[in-house]
Amino acid sequence: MFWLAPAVLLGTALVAVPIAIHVFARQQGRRVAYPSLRFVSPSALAAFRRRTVQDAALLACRMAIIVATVLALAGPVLQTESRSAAHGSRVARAVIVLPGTPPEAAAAAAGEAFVSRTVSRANLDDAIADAVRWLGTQPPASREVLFTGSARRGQLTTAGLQVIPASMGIRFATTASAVSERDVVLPVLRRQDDTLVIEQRQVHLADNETRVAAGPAPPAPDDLLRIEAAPADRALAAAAVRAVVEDGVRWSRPGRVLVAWEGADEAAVQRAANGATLIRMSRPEPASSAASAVIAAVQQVTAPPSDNLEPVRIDEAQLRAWSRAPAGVPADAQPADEGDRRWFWALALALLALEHALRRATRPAAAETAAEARVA
Amino acid sequence: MSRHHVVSSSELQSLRDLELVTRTTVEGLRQGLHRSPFHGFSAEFSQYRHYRHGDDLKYVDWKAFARTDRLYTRQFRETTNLSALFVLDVSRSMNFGGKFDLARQVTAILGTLVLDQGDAAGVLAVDDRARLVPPRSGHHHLRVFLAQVGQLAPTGEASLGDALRTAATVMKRRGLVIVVSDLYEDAEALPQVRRLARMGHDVVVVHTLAREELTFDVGGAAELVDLESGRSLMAQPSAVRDGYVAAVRQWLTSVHDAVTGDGIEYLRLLTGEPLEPALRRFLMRRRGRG
Repeated sequence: MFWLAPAVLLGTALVAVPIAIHVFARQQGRRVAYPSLRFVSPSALAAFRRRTVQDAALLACRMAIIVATVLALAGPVLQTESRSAAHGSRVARAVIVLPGTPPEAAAAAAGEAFVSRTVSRANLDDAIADAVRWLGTQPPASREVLFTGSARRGQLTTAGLQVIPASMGIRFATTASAVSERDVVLPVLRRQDDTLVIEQRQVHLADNETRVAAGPAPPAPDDLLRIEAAPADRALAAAAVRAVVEDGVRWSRPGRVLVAWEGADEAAVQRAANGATLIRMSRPEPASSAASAVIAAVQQVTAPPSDNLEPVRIDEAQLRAWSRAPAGVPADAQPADEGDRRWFWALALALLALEHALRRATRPAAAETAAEARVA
Repeated sequence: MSRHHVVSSSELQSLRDLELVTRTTVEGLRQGLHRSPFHGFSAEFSQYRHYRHGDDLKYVDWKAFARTDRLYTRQFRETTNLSALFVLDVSRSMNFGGKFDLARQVTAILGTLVLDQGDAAGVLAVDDRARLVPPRSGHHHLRVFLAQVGQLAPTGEASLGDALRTAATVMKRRGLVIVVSDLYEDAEALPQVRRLARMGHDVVVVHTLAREELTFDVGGAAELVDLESGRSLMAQPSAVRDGYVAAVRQWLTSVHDAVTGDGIEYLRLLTGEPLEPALRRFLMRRRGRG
């Protein structure tokens, strides 16, 4: 047996209260010296003895009420074999919804659990931490983390799953990804016929293939992308700009972008940066890498969000490797949802009824004075 | 017994109070009592009284027996003074409801009456030891008598029966024995009272009781402690009172009958009742008998 709230057991000290009350009440009865008790009838003495016994029973009953109440509040739990078996057969499940999973799929995954909770966070690591924390507070049961949805590569890693304790199972319920097939408009800045345009490139994303089609290409200002460099590097900078727009660069950001190489005239940079997004970078070394360095720098501010990128699902073999069954009921699980309080509450109620009956039995037929009533 | 006492100031004050009350009451009692209610035995014929078991047969008037078919004992007026011994119950049961103060007042008043008429009076009480002021006469003895009465306290270990047995040895010749007690030890005391009467003493039993003892006037439930035995018990007066009152009434009747049935005079005094009228009635009745 163990207790859900063992500190409450300190409340058993309250049994001193009825004892004190009884002692105080008995002291209220005065001691009266009397010349002789020979004329006090034996029947009255017998009645008094009965009442004394009943007083003791009343005191014991009141003490038992307090003890039963304290024990009920302390939450006793009797760990029987049947109860342990029942705990082992049920599952507490935390359902982590991978991005893009339909809500009905998450609800279906949680279906048969003894207790379940759906966790949906933008950051999957946060979702896993939440799920582990919640499972740690659940009553005795097998525990598992269920991932539902379509897991893309990079979302789930072996290191990320290691924060899940070994006692908790891991399971994957893969569904068709909501983003497995869709059309995305990918703006690209490039040169077309000596004119800068922002082409709205049409991209069709699917699990297994990606199709790209040309889209409308409205002209863009010539100074949409500009590099400020030292006078010695200006030729290299101009060549780098031409190379970038010749290949095309993803350009989801409206407005001008100014790249300032190290060594550029600061006054010129400030003048040119009027309203533009400023990117400062060192002079590319070697010079042949200037174009790719500029593209990498510009992509950081002009590339579309990563969720627009092509999804690649984690294959089934990897998911099976990560899966594992729950390792039984944790020994430190506190059955907060149950216990044997009800038996002690029932006992306390029965004792209350008994106490009421005893009080009625000990009440004098006619309490003539306040003192008699008090002692009674 | 030593007559010299170390008297504290409080005791002296209580003695003065006792003297004052006694003197006032005695003066009141004297009015209308032209003859003494107490008289002794003498060679001169005084009166007849009913024969009591133990009376000397030589004092039986056989002529009167032949005439009336009843036995009468002749009493004579002694040439010596009356010798009165007051046996005061100092058991712990007397320490209740002013009962012992009443007993002391009665003893002091009657003792003063006896001494004022030139007779001898003494007092006897037995607690851890016998406290005796032998019967003597004279005004100087009155102070000794009252001082002893004033110093007695109801803390006695011994019973009234012990005191009465001692009285039988103290009273060498016939005299007046006045027993002042609540008679809770009646089973032991009454045979001794009868024995004193059979010895020829004129015995008077003054039964002093507190009024609460008759009505069981204890307010509310209480733990009652028996003053004599120390035994205690919780009781609710409402549950006990009726039976108690009936038992006390029966006991008083039986005590009265037992005492008066042997020709012994019986006077019951209750605390809270005017003392002087009760004593006056008693003395008038006694004088009438004399």
